[in-house]
Amino acid sequence: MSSTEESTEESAEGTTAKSAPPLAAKAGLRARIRLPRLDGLRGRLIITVVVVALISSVTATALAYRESRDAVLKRAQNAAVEDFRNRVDSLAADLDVPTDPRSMARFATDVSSGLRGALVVAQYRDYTASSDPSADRSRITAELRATVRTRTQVSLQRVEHGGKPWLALGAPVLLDSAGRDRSSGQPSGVEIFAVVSLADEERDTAELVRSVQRGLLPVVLLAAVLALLAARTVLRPVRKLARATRRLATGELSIRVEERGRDELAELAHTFNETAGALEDSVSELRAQEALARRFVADVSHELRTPLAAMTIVSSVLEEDADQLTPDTAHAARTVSAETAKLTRLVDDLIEISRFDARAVALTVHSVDMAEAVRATLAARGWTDRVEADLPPGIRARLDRRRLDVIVANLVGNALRHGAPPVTVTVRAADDRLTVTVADHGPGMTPEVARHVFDRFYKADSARSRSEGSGLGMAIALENARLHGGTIELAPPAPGVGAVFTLQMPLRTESAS
Amino acid sequence: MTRPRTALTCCVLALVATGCGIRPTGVTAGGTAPSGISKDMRIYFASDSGLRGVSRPGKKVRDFNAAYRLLLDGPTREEQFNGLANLVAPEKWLRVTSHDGSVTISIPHSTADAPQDQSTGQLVCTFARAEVLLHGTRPDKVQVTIVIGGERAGPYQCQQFLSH
Repeated sequence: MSSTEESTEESAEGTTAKSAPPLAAKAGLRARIRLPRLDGLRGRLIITVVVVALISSVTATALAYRESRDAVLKRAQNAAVEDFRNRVDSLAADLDVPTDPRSMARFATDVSSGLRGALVVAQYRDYTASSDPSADRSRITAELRATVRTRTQVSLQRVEHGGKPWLALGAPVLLDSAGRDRSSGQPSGVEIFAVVSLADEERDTAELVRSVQRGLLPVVLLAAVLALLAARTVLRPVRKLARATRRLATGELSIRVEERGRDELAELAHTFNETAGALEDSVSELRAQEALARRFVADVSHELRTPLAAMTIVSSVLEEDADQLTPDTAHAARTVSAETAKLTRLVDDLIEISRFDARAVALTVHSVDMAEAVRATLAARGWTDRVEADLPPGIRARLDRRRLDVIVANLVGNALRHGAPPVTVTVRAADDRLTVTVADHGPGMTPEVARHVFDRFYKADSARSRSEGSGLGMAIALENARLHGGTIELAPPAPGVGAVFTLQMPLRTESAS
Repeated sequence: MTRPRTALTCCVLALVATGCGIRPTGVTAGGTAPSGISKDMRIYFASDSGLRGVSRPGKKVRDFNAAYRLLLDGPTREEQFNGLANLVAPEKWLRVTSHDGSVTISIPHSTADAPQDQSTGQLVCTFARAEVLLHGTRPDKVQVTIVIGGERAGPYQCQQFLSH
């Protein structure tokens, strides 16, 4: 019960006292969402879609490119081989072996003129004739020459020379075998080579790549736009849900989100709504129970007040007449009187704290001279001699004088009861803040005590169960400080100093609260 | 951030695998070799477009007389149809000798007129080819001299009579 009470108190307090930090956090979050972040869901979606688009288009292009390039090359090579063979076939009839360099040169030039002016090299025994003697013959590789020497067929090889692709063709020219099977023809000893440029084919395939490059950017942009649209359909409900969750966390339990569609996000929204509903139900149930409990305390306190008033009168009359009673009876009368006074204080404190719980308290703000007010508090309880007061004159504050009295009295009373003298009270004002420090020189508080010092009915010394205080003093002091928009804090333990409580509140409190 | 990088690597790999441009290859086969070169006897006939040689595959030429006989046999029917004609008149006393690539055609008593251009070419080219086949002389080293009566003409090379 106590733990749930604590949690509800915390959440209720979050709406008022902690309203500033969540606002700042919300603003920061919004700024972060606005920025194009690449590690968010949106960024991941865009990257994924763009990468998928890139991969698919590049892969498709690569495959198409390879196919078309191979087809273009194959056609070009076949055509070149066909031209070469036909040309050599038709011209070989005019060539006899043994032959001479001049005939060979003529033969090479004739072949070349039928092959778009390609370089043609004819070789017979130890001499070579070229259609273009100045041309570089390194395009005809030793590998090709070796193959042509050993195999009676047309051989071809693609080479790169001067950054351009070339097709080198080579074949031994067979002897005329009229009527006989062609494949059985004998080599004549003449070998012929031709080097055909593939620059046209390269340009055609390069054009394909260029057109793909031009198309790639629009594809990527389109993919990014589609990804953005897709991300929006996903992100909008998610963002709504996130906003609702944040508001739920700040205590707005009635918040619900729209459930649209039948997808997983709608399911999530439905679950969220169910959770929020369940939470709202249990919280309202708890609040009702708590309110009931508090009202019970308040009612009991009120009901006790009337009989207590009567008892106080009777016990004070008895105490006045104690001298005329027998010692035993007098002691009893004094005890009854003291306990009745304590009970009255307890009931008063209970009524006070239930007013806080019911939020039925209002500040009555006056302009107060702090030195005079604190001095009056100490004087009223007869503590002037036991407390060292450091009260600079001229500090004026706007606050509820009665509640200041309650706070100071509770802090000083606590120090006198539990700490060791000398107890000091210090009043300071700076930057529109009023600071009242109450310090003693006792052993200080253990961390366990420090944690619970403002709890209701918390007894620092469990062995001394019957202390003079009601156990509500510090809680009431804290509630009063909060009512002024201030706090009471316990300074962390330091050597040579006892417990130090610091009341901090605005120098000027608004009367409306 | 590793997923995009992996994807990028894939793209690059795909590009590398495809290979840009036209890459060099090894030597590949491209079908049957061309043919048509003759190593047999070739005799030359006149035509409207100049001197043209035709091969006589399978005919063995053991001496110059055999070549002369082939020439005098004239073009085949098919060759005639293609416009070839023999302008060389038979000479009974024609003698051909060769020494170190120099061929000498001797006609002691010319019965006909002095040889015309194409008929001279027929003789020069046919005997030059016969010299190449008989003695293995390089074609461009063969020189032919014609002696009619006591009159020398030449030395000629076959190349001079070929139109192109």
